[in-house]
Amino acid sequence: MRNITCWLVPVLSAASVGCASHPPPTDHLATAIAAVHGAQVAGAAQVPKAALQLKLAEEQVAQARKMMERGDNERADYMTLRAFNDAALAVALAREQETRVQAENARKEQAEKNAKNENSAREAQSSPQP
Amino acid sequence: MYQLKRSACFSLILAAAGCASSPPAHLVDARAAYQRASQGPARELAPAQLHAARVSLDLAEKTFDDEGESDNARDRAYVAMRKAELAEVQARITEETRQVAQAEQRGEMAAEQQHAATQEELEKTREQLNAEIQRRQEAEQAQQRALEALGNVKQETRGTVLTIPGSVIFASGKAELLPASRNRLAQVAQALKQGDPNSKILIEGHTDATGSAEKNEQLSLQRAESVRAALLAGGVPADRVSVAGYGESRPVADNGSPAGRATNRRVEIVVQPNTNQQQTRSSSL
Repeated sequence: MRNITCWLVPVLSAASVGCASHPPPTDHLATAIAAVHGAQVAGAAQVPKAALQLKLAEEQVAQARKMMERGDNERADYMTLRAFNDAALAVALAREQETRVQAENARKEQAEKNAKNENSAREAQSSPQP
Repeated sequence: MYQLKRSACFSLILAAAGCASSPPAHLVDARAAYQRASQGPARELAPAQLHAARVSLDLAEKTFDDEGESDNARDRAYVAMRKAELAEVQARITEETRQVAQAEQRGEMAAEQQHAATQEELEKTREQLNAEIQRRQEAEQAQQRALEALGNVKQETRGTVLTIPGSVIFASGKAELLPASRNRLAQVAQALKQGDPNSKILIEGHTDATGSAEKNEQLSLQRAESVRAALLAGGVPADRVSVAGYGESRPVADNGSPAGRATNRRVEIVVQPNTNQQQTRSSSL
């Protein structure tokens, strides 16, 4: 008897995991698709590192769709989660690149300004004293 | 019974082996990614994202503990890894943004300091200029007072004119200075030295209309030169002093009377206004 319970518990629990009907992750899929759009709008395709994450996210969205068609809703849900996180990373990488360019421009501008200030200061100092 | 017992033991051993098996690459990578992020700038700059990565990693660990190397465990590890990477990227964005803001602030501060320094410099120059103007005015006034004690002083457009009657310093018809005039001219030199060191001094000799114009011109020039020599002896720099002999050409009184002729016989010492100084004044006003 003890041995029968020993076998029964894992079998039952496995059945409960496998058979528990997982609802189609429609909301999660929509969220992942929105995130992919966000990454596209952020220009992720133009930034090499971000482009890789964007591609992964797109592929995973397609995979999630197929899984849902097959009725494998649980796996599909996990796939939407992967897609969402890859898209979010793509957005961040695109933003990072944008920020870096802005910072670079700001630094250049500042350097020019400094040079200008120094020049005018030098001119002011060397202006002829009457 | 014995058989059942043995199979149970076997399954237990299997389970133990499963638990002890090394974690899959995905989970190892996720742990390493979190480790790296939590030890880097994300700790300070992206704490929320780092926390989300921690929660994801814990979930991945739990799923692995519960299910072993399942697809779900692998996906959770994947997600945890992405979240750790996101925390690092966010930290870099924040850092970069902060640096830009700081650079801008520094730039503004530098510009302000520059501006203040320029203002200060300007103020100092202005003060120096005013002090210089005052110094020159005082020198001129001092010179004026000193000259007034020595002869007839007039302010004309050509400058300050000190007129010394010829009879005071020369014998009639001679260009040599009377010994008694030396002292007086030394005083004039003293007064001129008090004035603006940049002003030019013109010494003009004038005669009355008695005798030939040519002779008079010559005499007036010689007399002017005698006065110049006396001023140089008194310490006035040679390059400031020039001479002119106008003879009888510029009378100031009627040559028909003895008094008029006496007035016309004269030496005029003209302290010419410094052109530089004029410019300085007009530009400072």
